[in-house]
Amino acid sequence: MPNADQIAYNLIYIPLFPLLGALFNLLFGKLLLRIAGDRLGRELVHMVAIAAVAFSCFFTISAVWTEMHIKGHDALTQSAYLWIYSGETQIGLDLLLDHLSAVMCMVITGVGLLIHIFSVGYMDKDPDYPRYFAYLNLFTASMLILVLGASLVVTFVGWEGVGVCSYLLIGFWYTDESKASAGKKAFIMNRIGDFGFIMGMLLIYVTVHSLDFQAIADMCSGGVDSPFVTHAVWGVPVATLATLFLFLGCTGKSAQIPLFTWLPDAMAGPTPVSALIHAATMVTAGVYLVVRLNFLFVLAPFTMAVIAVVGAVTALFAATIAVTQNDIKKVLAYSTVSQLGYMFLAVGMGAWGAAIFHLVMHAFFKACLFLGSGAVIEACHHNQDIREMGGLAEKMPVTSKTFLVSCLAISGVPLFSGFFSKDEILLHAYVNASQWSVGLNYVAYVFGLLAAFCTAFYMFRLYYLTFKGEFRGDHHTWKHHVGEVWIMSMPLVVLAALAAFGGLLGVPHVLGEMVGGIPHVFDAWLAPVTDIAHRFNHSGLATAVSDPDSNYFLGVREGFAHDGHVEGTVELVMMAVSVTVAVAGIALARQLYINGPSDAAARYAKRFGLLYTISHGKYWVDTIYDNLIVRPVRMIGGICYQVFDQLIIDTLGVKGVSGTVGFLGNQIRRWHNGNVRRYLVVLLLGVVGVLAAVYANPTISQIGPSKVNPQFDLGGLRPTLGPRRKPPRPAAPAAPQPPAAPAAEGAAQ
Amino acid sequence: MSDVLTILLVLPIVGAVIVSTLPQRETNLAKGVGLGISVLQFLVSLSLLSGFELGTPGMQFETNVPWISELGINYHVGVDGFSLFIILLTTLLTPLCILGGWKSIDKRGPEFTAALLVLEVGMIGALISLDLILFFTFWELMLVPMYLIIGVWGSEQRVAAAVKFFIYTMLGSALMLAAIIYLAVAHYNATGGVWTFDLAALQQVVLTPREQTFCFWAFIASFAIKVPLFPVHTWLPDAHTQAPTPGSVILAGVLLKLGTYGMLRFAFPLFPLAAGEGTLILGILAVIGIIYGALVAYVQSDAKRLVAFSSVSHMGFIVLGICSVSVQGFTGATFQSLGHGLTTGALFLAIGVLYERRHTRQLSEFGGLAKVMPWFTAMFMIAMLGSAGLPGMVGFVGEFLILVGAFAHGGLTTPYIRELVLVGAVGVILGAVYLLHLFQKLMFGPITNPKNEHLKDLSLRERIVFAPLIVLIIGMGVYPQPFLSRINPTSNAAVAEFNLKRCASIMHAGSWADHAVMMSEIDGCEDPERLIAAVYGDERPFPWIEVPTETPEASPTAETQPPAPQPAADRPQQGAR
Amino acid sequence: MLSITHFLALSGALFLIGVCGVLMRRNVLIVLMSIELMLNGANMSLIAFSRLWGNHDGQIMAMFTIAVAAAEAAVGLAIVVSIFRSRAGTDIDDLGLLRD
Repeated sequence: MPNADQIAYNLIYIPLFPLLGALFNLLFGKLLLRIAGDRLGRELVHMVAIAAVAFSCFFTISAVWTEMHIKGHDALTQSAYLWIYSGETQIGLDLLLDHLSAVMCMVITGVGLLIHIFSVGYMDKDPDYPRYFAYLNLFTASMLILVLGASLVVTFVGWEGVGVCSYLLIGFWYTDESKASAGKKAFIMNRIGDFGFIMGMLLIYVTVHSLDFQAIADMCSGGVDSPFVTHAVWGVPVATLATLFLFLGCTGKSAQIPLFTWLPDAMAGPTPVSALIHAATMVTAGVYLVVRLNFLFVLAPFTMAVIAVVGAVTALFAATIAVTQNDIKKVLAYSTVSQLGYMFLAVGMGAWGAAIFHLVMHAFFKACLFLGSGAVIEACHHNQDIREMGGLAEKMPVTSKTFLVSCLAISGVPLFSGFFSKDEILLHAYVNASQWSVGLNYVAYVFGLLAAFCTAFYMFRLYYLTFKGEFRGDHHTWKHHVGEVWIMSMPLVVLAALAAFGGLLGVPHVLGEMVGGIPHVFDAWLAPVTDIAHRFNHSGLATAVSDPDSNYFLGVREGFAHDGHVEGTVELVMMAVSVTVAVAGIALARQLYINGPSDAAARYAKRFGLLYTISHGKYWVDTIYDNLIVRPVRMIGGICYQVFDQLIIDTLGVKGVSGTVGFLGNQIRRWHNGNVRRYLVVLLLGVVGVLAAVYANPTISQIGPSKVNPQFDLGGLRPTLGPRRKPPRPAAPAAPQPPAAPAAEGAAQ
Repeated sequence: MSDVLTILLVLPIVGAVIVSTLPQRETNLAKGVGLGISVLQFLVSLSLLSGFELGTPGMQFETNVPWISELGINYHVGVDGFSLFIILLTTLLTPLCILGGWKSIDKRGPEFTAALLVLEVGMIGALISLDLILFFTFWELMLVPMYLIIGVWGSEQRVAAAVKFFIYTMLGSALMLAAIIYLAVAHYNATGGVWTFDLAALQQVVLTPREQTFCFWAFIASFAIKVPLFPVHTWLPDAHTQAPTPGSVILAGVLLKLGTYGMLRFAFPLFPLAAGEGTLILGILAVIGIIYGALVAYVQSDAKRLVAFSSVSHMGFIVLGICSVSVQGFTGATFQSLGHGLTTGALFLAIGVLYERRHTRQLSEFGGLAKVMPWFTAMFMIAMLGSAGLPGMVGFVGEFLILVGAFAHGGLTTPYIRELVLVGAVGVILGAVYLLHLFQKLMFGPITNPKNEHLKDLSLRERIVFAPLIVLIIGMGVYPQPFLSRINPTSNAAVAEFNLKRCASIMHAGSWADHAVMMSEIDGCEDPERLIAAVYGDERPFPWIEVPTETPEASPTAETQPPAPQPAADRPQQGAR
Repeated sequence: MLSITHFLALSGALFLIGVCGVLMRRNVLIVLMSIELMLNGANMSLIAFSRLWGNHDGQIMAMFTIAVAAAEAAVGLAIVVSIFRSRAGTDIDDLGLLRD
């Protein structure tokens, strides 16, 4: 990003193909199904959809390839056209593929492609097949626009686009009222976040007068002297305020406290959708945004602290809920919230690389878990309750194995991907400088560690309850169990493989040295985007950020440092701690659930009855929100309408005025009884009254300049011919000059 | 070429005359003739687009012919960036309305078509008038056919709604007429006896702060009722609910826009000093309207009333954009006017489609329509998302420009505008709340009412009605350049002129003079940039202009005659004599 | 010598008599005649002032008044006749048509 070396490249093709695919299926899908017959029609529909994503994947790879092989260029850009402009505001539809968006694009198109393929099997019987694939393609296109946007506005286009697609896909089976409501809830909560996004944009615009990431980065390069820090709006530095607002947007999109409750509900959508949107891609948009604007966030230590705290708390909070849930998808949903919390913990600690690393690994193993759960749900005739499962490993060997691999990965068992990525986050939480408050990082670390324990526990609880032990559902389901089909198993295997070995992209420094110099590929790749210290050094402001004493220091603290990296022993100790925690969690789950829910589990639940109830009730957040926000809003609306609109303005105001006029009119009407002589009497009285008034006070008639000849003394009736002060020009036509006195005089004689 | 505007005015009148001579039972023939005329009208109006010169801020297609020459009243018409697209919107919506109401208007077809065509004349006339009396004539002309459309072809409570609409609007108009005459008289005095009602000429008059305040608020009273701004909005839901579908579409699509257009064209340029001081109040009312309209919309049980209240909310955004007096704000307000016209027009048409089939608009009567009416659902959704301001649709461009303009540049005239924007942006959330609520109640869920099970999807006629709206809603959101490039120069010029005249007014106010003068008499006007720089400085040095208190008279109120000799001051002297 | 005051007094007297007639009599014919009296009272003062100021405007106006009075009497009588036919009476108190 900071690098100005950018070359033009046709990036528009990356989001264009899914967009065209979506259009095709929306417009012609139904027709195709009718003309070509159901079977062939479906084939065509999903071929188009998958081909669109495959094309986009291909273009992404070729673009990344170009990026890797042209030296000195860090980013590919394309300006499609000038979109919104007025005055000095110039918003172009500009795309940018730098190292960060390259990673995101690969994940989106790669995982997206696998999920499209999986959907062919999962949605096989659905009557709205074309619509499903159209939405899925539309989502892919929006998400690609989100990550490819070269300015905040273009990112916002994608940001909203994915929100709408999420809305449509959650409520895909709209005939179920609760599913439609879940979609609505997701959209509205996202909208609350969007409010933050918009305000953040405005605040940044006020400072930079542009919303291009490049321009923002340039403005930030001043470090503490940049206008972001020196200028204040409402008494708060712009950087802090803008990032806080943007983070509000992130909490909405990425389901963090306080806006996380939509994600568990979003599980109402088809399971592949949950895998793609609500695990792998869309919900990580918030993390992406913070990393994208890392140069800005780093200037706001307070926001960073807030992000870290929110991330850590969310990680633990959601994990504790997941421990007691019985719906297979709900467990995974809360797990996603928790893992996103980890990512925010990482960005809050300034570990940008670690956050993105975990994001990618999470996309792999969580997509695999969701797809696996989808296969299980499909097999169990759309029953999602894990209390009625068990022993499925026998019937679904591939699914159970891939599920196991992903569970191991998410729990952080060594050599699986989660081990590398989650440990990196925890390590950074422990050793990174907390810029805003001393000791905050230790708290965050403890939270993260506890969450890691919970994660290992609930994942294996889920695994054991689903795949091990005896089947606890009804006989019928077991007998007519749907087997595995290759089109659903293949993506699982690929994802499991990625979940297992993907972590090798980010081997920690100490291990890499031991084995013989395996680098941390991921960090190296992201360095141009995230290496702030390097950039600030480059612009000659070394003291701004890299000085450990300054407020804006980010990175490994001195006590742990060893030529820029964390000291080996610290790293090893951290690793040991987290592995111990993970193994402890797995062991506990194994003990309690290896053969279905054991008596011990029930005993524990009873002993910690209060905790169990709280966790099982999801802390009643939904109820609290409902009573605290939703209902009051509706009530205020009702009061506004009934009291203000109907009563005060309409009844008292409008009807009051018209009523008064009507009443007076009715009163006066009585006078008009049609008797001419009565009218005449009144007229006469009026004339007499006027004459009497003039007689009593002759000056009463003297409102305008009099025309009476001054020669006649009419009882004090005197014309006003005094000198005029103003205006110098002739007066208005309504007030003509008095007639010339001599003429009147002559006439009188 | 310059006669296009006159043709636009004459053509519908000819059409109305033809149509009204048809016998009453020839409803379909009348509608057919009306459709033909209005389509022709639309095609003629397209020549405005092709002939419009890019990059010129001023008036184009001008015609200036004396009308009542004794009083300097001219038939002076012209088009610039502010009015161009609203005219096109008018000519587009009129045929769509006739087509959309083909079935629902089943009585007195000739009269209806004639009323609609006369309404079109009124709207176009008001949009192109550059003479205040001419404008006022058309402004009032709009009222009558709309009154009839609501009162004759409306629902059960139509007469009450029509009367409410009429009286509300008349109230504002009366004040505006007084201000127009006052302004013309001030011009007469300032120039030494030249009568004119020409906008450009009257714009050269600099009134004193007090006079400006009275005249400005008199104009605003008229426009705010039309918009409608928060406390005077209650005619709108009634009028919308009772009006037939075409009436609602025209009302929401064009009539409301004339309020904001009037602010842009008349109230702000004529009285910049008062406008600058008034933007805070206007802005507050606009923001209250945004939030209030959204909250109230959320609790409505009648679909049409819900959309009507959403108009209150959306129009608040437009007024906020105008209050910012920035290029982005003006452009955004104009663009948002178009966007709102298209999206709300489409929503009203959609509700009309439902009403035609079920004869009810109660949300509780519907549900699960997505299953039986997929095309309808798709159209409705696009209109709804466009209305909610989704990026890539028409609503976003306008909203974004308004917010940027207000937040970044509005501080020059309006204090606290950033706080207002902050509150107004909450409307973005609430907008999603009520629109999704509406959508879900209509489309989602199981089909609970057996009457809905066999509803027909959109017919070909209805698809033809929706198609242009949907195309524009998406097209203008994705590629707004052709629109912005024509609006922007006008906004630029308008903001520059506003600031120049505002500075001149401040200079004039500073000289303690108590009468209106022409711009050319104020020092420094020959060098606008220097004047503005000298007056505004870096920030905003004149938060509130104080009216001088030590002047002897304090009575130039809104009376229509210039107070040439001051009787109030003379009388005591006389008594002493 | 007769001053203007005498003429004005006469004109005022004529006018008042007319007013009293209009107000007190119930017969439409009498009322019409009283109106004629009032008009003539006004004519009288017009002519008197015309003489006083020495220009002819007042006299011209009086001419007009006479012409108008004649027309008015014609129309009025026609109305009276038609009322008499439809109502069989000319009592002015019975007529409240103006009201509706």
